Amino acid sequence: MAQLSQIDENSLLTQLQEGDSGAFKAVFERFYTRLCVFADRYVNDREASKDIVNEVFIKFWKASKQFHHMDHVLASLYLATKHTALNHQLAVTRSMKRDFVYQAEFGDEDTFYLAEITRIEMFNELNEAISNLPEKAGRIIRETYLEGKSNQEVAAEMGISLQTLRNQKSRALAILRSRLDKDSFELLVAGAFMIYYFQR
Amino acid sequence: MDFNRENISITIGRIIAHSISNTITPAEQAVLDEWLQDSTNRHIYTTICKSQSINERLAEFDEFDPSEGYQRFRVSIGKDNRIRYRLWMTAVAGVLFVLSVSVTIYVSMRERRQLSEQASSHRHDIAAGGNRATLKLADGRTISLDETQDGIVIESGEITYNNGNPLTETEGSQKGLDGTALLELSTPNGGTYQITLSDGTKVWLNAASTLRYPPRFSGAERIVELTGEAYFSVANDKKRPFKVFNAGQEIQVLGTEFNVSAYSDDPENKTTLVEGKVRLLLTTQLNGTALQDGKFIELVSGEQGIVKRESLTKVNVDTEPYTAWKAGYFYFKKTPLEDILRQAARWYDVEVVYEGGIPNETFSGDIKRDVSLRGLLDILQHSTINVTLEERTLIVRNI
Repeated sequence: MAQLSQIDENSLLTQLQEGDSGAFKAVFERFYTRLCVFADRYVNDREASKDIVNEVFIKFWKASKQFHHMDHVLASLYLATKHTALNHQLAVTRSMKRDFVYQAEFGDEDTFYLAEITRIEMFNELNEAISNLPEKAGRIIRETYLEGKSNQEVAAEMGISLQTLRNQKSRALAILRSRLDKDSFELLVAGAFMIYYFQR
Repeated sequence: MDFNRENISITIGRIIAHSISNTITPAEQAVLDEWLQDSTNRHIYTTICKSQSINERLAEFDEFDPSEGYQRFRVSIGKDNRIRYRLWMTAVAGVLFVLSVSVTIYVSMRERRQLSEQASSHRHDIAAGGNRATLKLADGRTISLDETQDGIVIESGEITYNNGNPLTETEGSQKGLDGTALLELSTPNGGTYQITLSDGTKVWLNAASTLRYPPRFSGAERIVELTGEAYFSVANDKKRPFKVFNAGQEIQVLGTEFNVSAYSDDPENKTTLVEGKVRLLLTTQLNGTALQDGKFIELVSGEQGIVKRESLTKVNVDTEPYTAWKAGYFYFKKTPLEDILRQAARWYDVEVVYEGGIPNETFSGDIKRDVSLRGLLDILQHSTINVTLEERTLIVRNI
């Protein structure tokens, strides 16, 4: 599930503004997990994170929604989640105890805020792309790129030759590229890529 | 509000993902390079990229399920403070939507009904169960217990209600009894009662159940017999093991809390451990004496022993669905409809008839036990299950 096409996004945004619950549900499910992980960075408690995000969406449901872009929706939800999380007793207690994560890593709350958005969007993007790959391809990408294993290691693990691994890796990359790219031109290129490798 | 900074962070995060998976485009690389000109951003970048194993971080995403979150959200939106219940359904998403709409409908219907309380309701309904039980004494007499009381206490041969009031019918009748003559506490359909035994063990009896127990535990063991369902909170006594006998099984306890469901019309006996440890043994009846088959398992907190015919199995469970009744509510967790209606039949004292097969649907949710049968049924009505109440029979039509 990469980005929506511009047409889909526009109609979703319109329906959202009209208070259509189907559109709201789509937005909810699209962003829920990320916002929970984000809240968890502040309170470090799974249940509290769910409570916080639930509250954020309740406020969002009641608010008038005029957005031009889905990422604007997401940005406003991140901000709302930050506020709600900071007000949660767990965050207050933790920062009072001076063991708050941002103290250690970033030194100020604002940098922490933006860094966490960046980090979570990165993981979300990776997660979506990888989980949409066919199983073997997903595994290859995960192990070679993310876990840093050598081609040799992974080939041995999977019981295939190094050359076979290289081929499969290219195919996997091609699929990944086609999933991650928004530009339709790139999609075409990736498609050609895939066909090229299939014909090898 | 323009959210410019947030939007940049969002975009950069995704670009970094592309960079890691080696699918970054030249245009994206340019954006990333420019962003990295700033020293704070470089700091963010290095911190993010050197974070611990990415798999671990990705696993975090699995902890938060959007469908579950959405169900809960719908309930939050539709909740009425006066009515304490949550309901969601495990089924296809289409049906899910129908049910979450029905939650709001149910709430407003209740409001209207409460407003017109004075007007007699022509809607046929059945009240929930209550504290109803009978006590069979050693001399054979059966007395009905006070419905305004919730339990009785056996102490030094005397029986009193939980609040201290004596059972007038039994005064003096218990004296001189030896410990072998068993007394019987029985609940009818729609009844529940609690009893504190002479050793301090507390037993809560659910509907349609019978507990046979001695007025005093005089032997080396403390033995009681149960048909039906009860929740036990056994008093600790290491010198005298506590045993519960049911059809086909025996439970040996030291001091602990557990729920036993052993109805004769249920295909399985279920023993659910809340706290402590029990040993569950298979037994067979021979000439009225229970023989141990030699098969047994031990259960600890969170485990459930299932006895079905001659088989004995153990599973891990969330204990709440099995012990909620004692706290005054029904708790269903992916519970099959058949199970729900069987429990309803016992508590509301109705029959259940299935026309056209038993539907497969499962339900999750909780609702107080003092709600009338209509209350329970109104919820099912808005699902795809067709249930009607005629006199004292629930008819389930599977189309």
